[in-house]
Amino acid sequence: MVRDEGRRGFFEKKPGKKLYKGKKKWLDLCASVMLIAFALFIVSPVIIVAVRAFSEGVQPFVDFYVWKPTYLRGLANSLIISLSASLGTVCVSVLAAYVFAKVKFKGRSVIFYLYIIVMMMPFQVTLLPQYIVSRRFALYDTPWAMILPGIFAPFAAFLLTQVMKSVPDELIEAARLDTGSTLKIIWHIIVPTIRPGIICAWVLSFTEQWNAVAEPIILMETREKYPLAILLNEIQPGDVLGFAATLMFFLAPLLLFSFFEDEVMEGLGDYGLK
Amino acid sequence: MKKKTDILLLLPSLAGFLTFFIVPFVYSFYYAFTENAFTKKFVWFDNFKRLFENEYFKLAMKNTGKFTVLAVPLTMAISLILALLLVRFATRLPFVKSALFLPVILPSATIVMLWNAYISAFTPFHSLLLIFLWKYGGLNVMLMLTALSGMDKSMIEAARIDGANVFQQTVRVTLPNIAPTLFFTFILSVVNSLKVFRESYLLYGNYPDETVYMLQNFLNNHFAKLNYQYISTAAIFFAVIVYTIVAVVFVAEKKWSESIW
Repeated sequence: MVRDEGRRGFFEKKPGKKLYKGKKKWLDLCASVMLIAFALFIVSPVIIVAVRAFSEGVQPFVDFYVWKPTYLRGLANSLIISLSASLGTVCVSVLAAYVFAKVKFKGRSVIFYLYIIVMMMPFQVTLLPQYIVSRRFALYDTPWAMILPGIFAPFAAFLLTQVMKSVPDELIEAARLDTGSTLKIIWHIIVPTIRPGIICAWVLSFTEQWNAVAEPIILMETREKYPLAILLNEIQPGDVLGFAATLMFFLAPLLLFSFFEDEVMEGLGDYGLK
Repeated sequence: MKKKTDILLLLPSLAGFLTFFIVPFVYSFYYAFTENAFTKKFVWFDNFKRLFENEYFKLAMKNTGKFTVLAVPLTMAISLILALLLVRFATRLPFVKSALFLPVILPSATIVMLWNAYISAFTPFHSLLLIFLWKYGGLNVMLMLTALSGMDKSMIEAARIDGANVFQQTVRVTLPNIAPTLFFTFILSVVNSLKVFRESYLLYGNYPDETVYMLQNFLNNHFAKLNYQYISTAAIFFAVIVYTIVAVVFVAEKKWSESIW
């Protein structure tokens, strides 16, 4: 497999990289229509909610956040948990990824496989272990019960290792001549090189935490500590307030994604390449 | 010129990973094979036997199996067709590419709110299928697209010159070429199909319709009772099934690629 080619191929915006040759105009037309239809199918729920949310002006938005401290607190909880977990996991994972990709030692692949296995595990399997740990370390019912497992979740380490493999060894060797500190090399040379991968890992980890539903239900019990995802669920479906709330809630991941779309796509390109 | 101390950089991640995932998981093995937290009696496979006799567990197994068996091939087929189409048009329709990825980042909580408008028209089981397709289809297309774009096009060209039609070119040349990615997305889809509980829970709560009572509902409801033995046993069983699937797919891929090359 020509891997580098694939990475480049997907993002180059030059025309004329058709897989098949041939001039079947009608086929092109049918295909375009199908693709646009599918894209609309995917986007349609978002549009529906946006329209419904604004059907009564901005009042529902005001009601939702300004007059309901519960939701405001939920939003704050969500932000605290998602930001700390996603930033934390990127920090520890960059270091781990460097070791996995660039430092040879005995047992490296065994440990890496362990990461992959846990990454693929359905979360119901890891939930009881997490519950046991949170009880034992008195993390239960604190934000830390969510944040710490989030930081050490294997996903970011896996993704960044895949990305790190594409960093040329020569680059690191050359930097070694200037400094003896590996941390400095990682910070000044590697991090800027794999910036898209890091941003991708951060955005996806953030979304993962922002999304979490089952974990907070089990790891927390005080209502005041619940993130917004749980509280949203209690709003009656069909309620205009609910649509406004929904729109506000997915604004965070949506903004992140639209801001970093290219980086996320590029980082994800490495994800599939085993 | 690697430094020996570099290996220490793995420690922060590894320490946390062991503490929060591996060690506690070993603990759940211990729970699965003991009678209860007080007697700590080793009971071999009694817990498993008890679990398999549980009506709700059987129902949950049936539903989860049915869902995965239907959802995964369906999503794979649709994603593959779209990816094959999209590779022709990716450059001209950037909007489609962004749209595909949207559901992956949209929070489940909002997805449910979004879909409430639609799904009342479907049965709960079909709603979940639809949501699954909506949520993960795009990710599959993205991954397949990356592989397709990286393909050596001269091979297809050669097949075309030899007189192969578009269908033959696809089945004989394109698909074997992106086999590793196909297997990867397949495994990813299986794992994701087991995660659909998130949406199911938000839509139907703890006690959903009988047709969508999944293994995860079973685990979740037993959490409320803090029945460690039951949860651990079910979780281990669950994990074993997942890894059996992954292992089978992995071996199948090796065999398949060997037979081609």
